[in-house]
Amino acid sequence: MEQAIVYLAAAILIGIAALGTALGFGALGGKLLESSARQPEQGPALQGKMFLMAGLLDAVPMIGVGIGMYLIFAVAPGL
Amino acid sequence: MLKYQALALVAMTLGSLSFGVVAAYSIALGACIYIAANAYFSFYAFRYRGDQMGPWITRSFSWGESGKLALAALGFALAFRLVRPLHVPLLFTGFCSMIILQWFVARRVIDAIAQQQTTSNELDKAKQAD
Repeated sequence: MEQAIVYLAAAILIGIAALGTALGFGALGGKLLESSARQPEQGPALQGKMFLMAGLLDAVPMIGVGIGMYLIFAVAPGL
Repeated sequence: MLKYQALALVAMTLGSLSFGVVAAYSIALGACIYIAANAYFSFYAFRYRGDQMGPWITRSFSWGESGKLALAALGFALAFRLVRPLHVPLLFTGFCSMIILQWFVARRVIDAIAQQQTTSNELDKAKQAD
């Protein structure tokens, strides 16, 4: 039973992290399209900046994935 | 960016050797997981450029992003499964310190790009004025 709860917690953790990343990427991509349409000459520069920001955006959910893996592979087998 | 991260990895590992070998390799492992995932993402995300490459950019970005998460998950899973003894808080410390370092380096890169653009715009204006 405890093991199942730990697996569920890990699933919720990773799922919510993925949801947050998806919302962030949606906002980031939307703003990129908006600004590229407004100033097409800035497009390539904005794209480079967007990729840099994307690298930062998904860094935090990766911590969630790490904690999820810890729950699955280190905590749950010991229960 | 990878160069700065590799330098920080070596410095942190050497610094944490005074706390013991387990602490040192736990920090190094955490940092390596992030560096490997980030290198994969950078390779894919910056592969294509330009207006004509739209679909390829989207595809490679998507591949890079999902590969990054998968690599991080795999790295953590392998570390927790195979490495014994492992200092878990220090593993996460190594991982998070790479994230913080990336924020600072990305900030500097973005500032440098903006400055470069301002300079080239000013040069263009000066050429047009001549």
